[in-house]
Amino acid sequence: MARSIYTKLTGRHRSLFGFSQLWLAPDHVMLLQSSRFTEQYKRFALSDIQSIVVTELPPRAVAQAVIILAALAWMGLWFTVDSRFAKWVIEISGTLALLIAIVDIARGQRCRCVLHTRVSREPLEPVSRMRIARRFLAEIRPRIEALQGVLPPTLEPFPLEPFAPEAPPPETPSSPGYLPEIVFGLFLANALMIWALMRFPQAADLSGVLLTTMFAELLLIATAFLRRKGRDGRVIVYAVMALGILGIAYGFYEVARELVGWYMTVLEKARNNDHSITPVTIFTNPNRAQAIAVAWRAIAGVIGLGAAFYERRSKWPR
Amino acid sequence: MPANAIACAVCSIPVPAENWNREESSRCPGCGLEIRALVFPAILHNRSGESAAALQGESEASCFYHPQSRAAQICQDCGRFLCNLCDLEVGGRHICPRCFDKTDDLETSRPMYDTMALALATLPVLLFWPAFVAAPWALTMVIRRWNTPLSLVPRTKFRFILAALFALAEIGFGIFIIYMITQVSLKGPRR
Repeated sequence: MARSIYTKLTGRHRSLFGFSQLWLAPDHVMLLQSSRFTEQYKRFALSDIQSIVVTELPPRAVAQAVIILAALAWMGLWFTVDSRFAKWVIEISGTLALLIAIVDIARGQRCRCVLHTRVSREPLEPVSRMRIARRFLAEIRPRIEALQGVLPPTLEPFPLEPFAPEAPPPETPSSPGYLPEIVFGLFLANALMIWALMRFPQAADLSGVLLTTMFAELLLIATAFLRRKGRDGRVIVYAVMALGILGIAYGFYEVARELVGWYMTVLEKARNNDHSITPVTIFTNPNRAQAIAVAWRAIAGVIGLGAAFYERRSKWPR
Repeated sequence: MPANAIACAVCSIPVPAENWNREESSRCPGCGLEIRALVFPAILHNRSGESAAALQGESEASCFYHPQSRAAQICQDCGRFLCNLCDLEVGGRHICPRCFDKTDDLETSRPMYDTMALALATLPVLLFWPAFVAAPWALTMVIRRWNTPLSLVPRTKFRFILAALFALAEIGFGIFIIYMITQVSLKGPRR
């Protein structure tokens, strides 16, 4: 395997869904942005860098002090609660809040760093603290000056204009993934399983599988809508998915109702010292509303798959 | 052509030239925050691209992509004639737009198959049943993608190894469960 040409310039700047980091190659700086499952790379040739600006952000001493005092006050609730579980929850959450505030103070003053080239103005998120900024500038300045030289100290004034970003290049059309097709397939599979449970109540094991697949359905729908922007230009498919949510919502209502019923049955048995097992069963008492919800799901699945196929062929012909 | 203003990272007010390249920080005239601006000679070089020249006669070579434009360069990858518009200078080499698209050196993104395999081998366990499908899938991904280049930056195969171990453990557990179920069905429940 080829050896990487990159050396680390900064540590990882973590966010909720990934991290960003700066790496240095012999002739360029690379900004790596990771979403865990993919990495995006932006390269800035050292010969193209016009300037690097680091601005210190205002200190947050007041906010940090408030957080520390609030955490200590929260932890003081230890003396007022009797429950052991509550004591542990209070202490763990208070300690976490205290640690976050202490680590924030220890990491030093925050800053914002921007790299300017002829055509871009890129915020460098990994350079988020003054300590990191000093190390970063000390590392990169000699490299840039080795390539470009130094700006003469006595410079004739030359005209500067406010930064106006270049128009973005035209997007390369690429076909979307198959997530909506998987969602509609799952609609059909779940509709089939619900119908099977309604028709054959003795197949109670299907309830366990159905609980999992219905949860997966919800997760995939949320993911499909969240990922849609910039990736999938189809409209009908997502409209059908949104309408299908109506049938799904009723399904979840039924499941929640039956799970609560099961829980109450178990509680009642426990009170009466009854040790018999009460299996979880769902969709075993068919009614018209359930039948409509199943049909809605199945129809949404069929129409969705057809629409997905049609829109894929029309928008991204091979 | 005027250069772009060097602006504060917070308020975007231009940094005055007397505050450029100072060893100590200065104050931003807009927001009053401490600011440090390093400016390099590239700010003086505002090169703009050349437009394609028209063909003057039939004996002149024309661009492969623009037959009405005069060829100014040859693509150093595929050998096609290029006009000034199509000539892309990358790392000192002149290449055409089609060869530019195929260049590995300018990859802008890569999938992280090791993280995907590890997620497949671990997350479905939370829902139990999907692990029986996801574990073999994770193992297949580890085997198929073992030699696929991962990140551009140094990265070990630790996640692949961890994914394979988890997947094997789940597959082994699945086989054990199937074995126990078949044993119970053959022998009948204990009385």
